[in-house]
Amino acid sequence: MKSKKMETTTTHALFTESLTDLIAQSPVKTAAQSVGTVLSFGDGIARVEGLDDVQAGELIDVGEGQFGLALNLEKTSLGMVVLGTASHLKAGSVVRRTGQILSIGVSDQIIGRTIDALGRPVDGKGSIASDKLMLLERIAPGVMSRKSVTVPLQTGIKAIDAMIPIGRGQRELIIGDRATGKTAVALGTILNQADQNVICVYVCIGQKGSSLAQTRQTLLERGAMDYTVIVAATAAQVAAQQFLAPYTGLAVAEYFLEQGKDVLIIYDDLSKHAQAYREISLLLRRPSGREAYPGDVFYLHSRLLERACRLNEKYGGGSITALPIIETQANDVSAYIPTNVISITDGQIYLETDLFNAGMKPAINVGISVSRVGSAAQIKAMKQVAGSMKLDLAQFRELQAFAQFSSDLDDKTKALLDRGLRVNEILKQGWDKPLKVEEQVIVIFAAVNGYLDKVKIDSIMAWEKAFAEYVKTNHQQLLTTIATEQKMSDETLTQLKDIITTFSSIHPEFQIEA
Amino acid sequence: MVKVTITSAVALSEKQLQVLSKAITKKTGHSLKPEVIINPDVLGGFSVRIGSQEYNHTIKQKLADIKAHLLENA
Repeated sequence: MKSKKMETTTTHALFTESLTDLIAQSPVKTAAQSVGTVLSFGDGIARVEGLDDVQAGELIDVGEGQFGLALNLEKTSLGMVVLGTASHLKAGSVVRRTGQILSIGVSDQIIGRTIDALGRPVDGKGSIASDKLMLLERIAPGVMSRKSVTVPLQTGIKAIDAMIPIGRGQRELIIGDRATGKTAVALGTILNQADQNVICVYVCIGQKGSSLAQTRQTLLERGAMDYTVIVAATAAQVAAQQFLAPYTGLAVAEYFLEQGKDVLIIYDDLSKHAQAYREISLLLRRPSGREAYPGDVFYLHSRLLERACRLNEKYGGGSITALPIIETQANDVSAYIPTNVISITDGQIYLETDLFNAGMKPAINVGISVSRVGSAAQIKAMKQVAGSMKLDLAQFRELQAFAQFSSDLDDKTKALLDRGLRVNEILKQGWDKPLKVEEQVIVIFAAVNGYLDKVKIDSIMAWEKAFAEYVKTNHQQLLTTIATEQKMSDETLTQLKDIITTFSSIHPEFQIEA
Repeated sequence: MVKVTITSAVALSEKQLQVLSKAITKKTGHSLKPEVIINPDVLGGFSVRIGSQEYNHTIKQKLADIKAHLLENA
C-alpha cells in the first residue's frame, strides 16, 4: 500500500517536472508581429486592414489554429480566403502574418497517409514528420532540365496500354460524362503500380465523402496504400481547400520527384476544381468571363499540369505523370473547361456513356482517344501486336453499320466484321483486374492473328481467362522472357503460336459449332 | 498619421505610461498620444500596436504560445 502511494507520487513528480521543463523551453516572442484587423467576414472571405508587407499567397494566422490565404492585395485592405470555417472570426478580430508562403511539410512517412489540402493528416494515425517544406506554388521545370518521355507507365488496361499508351512524365486527360468509369480507370492504374516502383498520389477534389471512403478501402485491401498518398478535399470542405488540394498533391509529388523517383498523380476531378476557384473568385469580386469563370482559369490548370514532367539525369531523372479527370455534360467536349484542359494535356482518353451501356467496359472510344506520346512509350513486344489491332478496329468501325446485314455480305467483309467483333471483345476488362504487359501481349497476339476467329463471341472473355490461367500455370517462363527481353523474338513467337494452338485444341467448348 | 494603441488588463500608472510613450517615440520618430485600452481579457502584461506592427507582451498571448508549444511537442 505504502509503496504504491510512493510510486504514484514519484510519477506525479516526474510528470510535473517534465511539464515544467517543457513550459520553460517555450519560445518567448519579443519581436514585433505584423497584425491586421478584420473589417468584414462572410462567405469564407475576410477583408482585413493592416497587415503591412504581407505577400501574395501568404498564410495568415486567424487564431484557433486556423489559417487564411492572402489573395487580393489592395491599397487599403486585403482580401483573404479563410481555409476552414473559422466561426470565431468577427469584425474587429486581430489576425497575424506568419511570414510563410503557402507550403506543406513532407517526408517519406507521408506514404500511406491521407491528408487534407493543408497537409494535415485526416486518417487519425497521428502527425506526419516534416523533412522538407514544399511550396504549393512553384515555377515548372524549364526546357533544359526536361527529357523526352520514353519509359511506359503501364496502366494494366489493354485498351490503353495497346493503343493509347501513356509514358512516365506525360499528362493524359481522362474525359467523359458522369458514371462512365473515369475514376475506375484511374484507380485501376494505381492498382497496377504495385511492383512498378511508382509512387501514387490521388487527389480527391469535391467528391462525395462516401466515394472517397470506398476508394480508400479498396486501396487498403489491395495493398495499394503501401505506395499511395491521398489528398482529400471532399465536397464538405470549403471551396478554398478544394482549390488548394491539387497543388498540395503536386507538392507531395515534387518531394519524391526531387529524389529521382517516378510519381503518378491523379486529379479527380478538375471540373470541380474549376468550380471551386470560380466560387472564390466571384466572392473576391474578381471580374468573371465565359461561363462565369474568372479570366485566369486556364492558368489555374496550366500551371498545375506543366509541373508534371520528366527530368533528365542531371536533375535526378525522376518524373511526374499526371492523369487529370474532367467531367463533361452530355458529351460536350467543346465547353470551356474541357477545351482548356485538352489543349494543355498530351492526349485524351474518351469514355462514352453509349459504350458503357452497351456493355463495353472500360467504355473507351479508341477511335477518338489519342496519346501524343504514342509508341515512344511502349515496349517493342507491345508495338509488334498493337499496330495490327488498331488497323483491325479501324476497319471494323467503318463496317459496323453493316453488321446487321451480315448474312448478305461477301466473305471478306464478313471476316473483317468477325475479327473486329472479337478484337473489341478482348478489350473488355474488369476495372480492378489490371494485367501485366506480357499477359496483355499474348492475348492481343492471339486476337489479331486470327486464333480467336473460331471462338464464340460470348465465350471470348472466358477463353481469355482460361488462357491466362493456362499460360501462367504451364508456361510461366514464356511470360518472364517477354517481360525481360521486352520484345518477342522469333523463338518466342513460335513458342507462343504452339501454346495457343495446344490450348485451343484442349478446350473445344469455346469453339463455334461447325 | 500612424495610430498607436496600448492595451493592458489594469490601468497603468503615469510613470509606466510615460516610459512606454518614450519608447514608442524613439521607435516611430513621432511623438504621438497613444490610445489606452483597458481589457481585462488579456489577463496581465501589455500590448502596444503601432500602425499594423504589434508588440504583444500580454499574459494571454504567452499562455497561447505555451499551449501551442506543448501541443506540438508533447
